[in-house]
Amino acid sequence: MRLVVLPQLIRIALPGLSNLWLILLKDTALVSAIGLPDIIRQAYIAARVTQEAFLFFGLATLIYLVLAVISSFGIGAIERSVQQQDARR
Amino acid sequence: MSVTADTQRPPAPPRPWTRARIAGHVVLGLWAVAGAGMVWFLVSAWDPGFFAKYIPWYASGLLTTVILVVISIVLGALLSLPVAYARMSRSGFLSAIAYGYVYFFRGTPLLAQAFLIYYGSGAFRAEFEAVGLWWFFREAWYCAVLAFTLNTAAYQAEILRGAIESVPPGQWEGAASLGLHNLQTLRKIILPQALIVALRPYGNEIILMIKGSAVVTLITVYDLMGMTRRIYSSSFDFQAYIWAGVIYMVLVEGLRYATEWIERRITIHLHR
Repeated sequence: MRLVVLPQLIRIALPGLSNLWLILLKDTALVSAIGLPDIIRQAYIAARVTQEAFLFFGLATLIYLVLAVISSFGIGAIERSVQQQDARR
Repeated sequence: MSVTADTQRPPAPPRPWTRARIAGHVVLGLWAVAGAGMVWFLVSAWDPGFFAKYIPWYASGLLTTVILVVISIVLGALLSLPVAYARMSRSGFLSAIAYGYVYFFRGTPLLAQAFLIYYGSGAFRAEFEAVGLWWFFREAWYCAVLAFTLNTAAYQAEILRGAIESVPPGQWEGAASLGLHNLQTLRKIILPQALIVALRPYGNEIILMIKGSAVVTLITVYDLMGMTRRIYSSSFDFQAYIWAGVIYMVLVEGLRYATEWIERRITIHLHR
């Protein structure tokens, strides 16, 4: 399972899973609507207090962008580690 | 090889009650109970007065949602053409800009983009007033349309690019050898094949936009979700949200059937 099935399984499932991961990452922004103190909610509060909405929402957007970039690096690393086993065959 | 009438199929192998199969049945049973409970709740909470009072509210919210989605899908489709062109162009500068645009709008939540445009534009009020655009950014509705258009344009540009690149390069070469110029090739040979590939993703994109449009509630546009919140806060009746869910589901299901119907129509030459 660990050495034979899993690497092949990940190779096939990874594109779908990484898509799902990125979509979910963006959907977490919606929890601010029900009052959870996530990035957007904190930005909203900061913007209301300081009256600098563009700065804080821009910052929140950039944080999401950085998270997406980091996850795409992580996904790339997993992809390479699975492909190496393919090449070693 | 002829199959005679008395050809015997081997008997179906017995299906043992494995643990996975039992677990599957149990989970399915739980879902069935939950669904029945929902229906029972709706039946027991049935109140003609609720509908008489709130159907116009739902209708106005639904209209707002549909108009918002239609406008942004159409404008986004127009905007996606130059973006997809730039993304595929050989010029490194153009494709880098288009890639950055697509990456930004696909990498950040729609909610953040809407907030950025609606609340963030206030920071540039003086500048917008100077160029006479403040009326546009002052209204939540225009901001929502702008955010949705920019967002869906990025997604649609990627759909278009993927579809056009899925057509084998031999088609371009064949058309060139027949003396067609690039625009003719694109319109008469590449696009008809690319649109078959693009249809499903386009349908998905519209469905995502319908569901995504619920976030405009948070920038004070009264779409279906916003009206539902108002209905809930005026009636204190939880079924308001269930009916909104039903309306969204009917919309999406209708779109899914429409996409399937179009796909059957345009791939008629591929079936036998």
